[in-house]
Amino acid sequence: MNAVPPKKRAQSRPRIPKGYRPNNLGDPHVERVLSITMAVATEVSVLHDKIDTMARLSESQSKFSIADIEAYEPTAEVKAEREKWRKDYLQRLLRIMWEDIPDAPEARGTSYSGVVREVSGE
Amino acid sequence: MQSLALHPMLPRQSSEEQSRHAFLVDFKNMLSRDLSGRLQGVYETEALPEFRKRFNRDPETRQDVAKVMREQPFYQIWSALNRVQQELYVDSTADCVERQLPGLIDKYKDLKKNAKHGTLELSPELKIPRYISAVDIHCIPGGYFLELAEDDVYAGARYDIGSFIFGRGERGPLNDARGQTGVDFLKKNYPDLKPKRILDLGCASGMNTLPYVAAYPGAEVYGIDVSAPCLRYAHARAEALDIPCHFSQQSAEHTTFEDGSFDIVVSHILFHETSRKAVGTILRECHRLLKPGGVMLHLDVPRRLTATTPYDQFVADWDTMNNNEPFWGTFLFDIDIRKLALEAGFAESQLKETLANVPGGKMNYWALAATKAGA
Repeated sequence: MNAVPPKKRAQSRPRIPKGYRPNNLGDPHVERVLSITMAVATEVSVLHDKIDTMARLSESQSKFSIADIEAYEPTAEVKAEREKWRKDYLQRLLRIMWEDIPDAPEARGTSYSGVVREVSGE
Repeated sequence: MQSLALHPMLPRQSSEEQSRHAFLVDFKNMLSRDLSGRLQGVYETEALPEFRKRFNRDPETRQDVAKVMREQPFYQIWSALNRVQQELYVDSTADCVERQLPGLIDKYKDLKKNAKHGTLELSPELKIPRYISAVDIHCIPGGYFLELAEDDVYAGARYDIGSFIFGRGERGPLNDARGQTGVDFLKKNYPDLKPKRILDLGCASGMNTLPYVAAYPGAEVYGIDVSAPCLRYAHARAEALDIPCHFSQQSAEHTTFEDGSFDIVVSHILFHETSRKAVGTILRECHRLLKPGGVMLHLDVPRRLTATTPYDQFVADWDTMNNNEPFWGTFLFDIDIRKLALEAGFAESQLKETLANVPGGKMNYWALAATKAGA
């Protein structure tokens, strides 16, 4: 095999697109953190499927190998269960997108300090 | 969701990759389907009243809507999440292809050497148009042109599997829903066509070129594109599927074919990745290439016809500023394509601009069709 060895390929493949990088959130650091967060969230979903595979394999056999995990083909029923899990998981993950959260400072509860004073008074 | 037909050139997804891609598809669904109602709610309750207050009128254009929507915190996080999703999905499919690349290149070489029906002609000296090379279209690092090794098929393979995943599995087991739609449209609207030669412009990995081979037995089918790695993959994929097709590296603006060489000239989501000037040039080239009585058919994203309100057009235009699609908004909403087709020589009475339904599916595509006069 004369193709480029994996290490060189891994170094040479660009991973950031050439072009315009929008700054929707006003702070490039926040955009980076969001990207990291969603990458972690993706891997949690990958792990969920793997654990699910292992749990199902353990129901039918006492020992199984890494190859068994890789070869496992989820049935249509299992696929549907996993899809349901992903949808629920995404709902939990993106909960903040489904809630009405006030953004204006006056709506965020500045009167709360009044409540603190009120309950702290003698 | 349908599974891909596992032809020999298709990169295989490991179980982890399948899980990763499934999550990223559902993530996209959550953003573009489930959360679209909330986005519209923010427009109606926050942004629209703000626009009226500021300008004393209703928004008339997508640019008007942008003035107030881009300030909305919900839009900002929704848009940022969409961009994150796009980059994660591209990177994951790229990983999947890259780890299998040496084997895919070997298969390409083998299939090319033993080609039974089709041909591949590359032109390394071809000048790549700026509109497809100035930025990495839809945020794919390296775009359609990345070559990591000699005889590389990476960009073509990634486009095949990536487009299937992006299409949420709705493009059929051979990822050819657009080609099937073109065939269905031609059969319904031009039932008497008996084509001898068919050309697909901007064919990329050739998924949508091949349905024309089965639909018109005996016809010679050609696919052209400016990307060498996509064409190598297209050629090997067609050979692996045992479907005869001739691929060559050419620009749709100026091909090397003679006048009147084709009975049918088609394209699938080509226009929105070109430029205002190029659309006119390509239409003129179609007119030159068609025989009298021949038909051109161009399919592209349906929102050119379906997004009619300033708000819908603003949402549809997300890709222009967030997904490296520089011509997207202009193509969808600003150009008079009928006028360009008339200037290219097609007659008004022959022009059809409509929606073409994907056979057996719920989706549709924008379609521009015309017969060349003089048969």
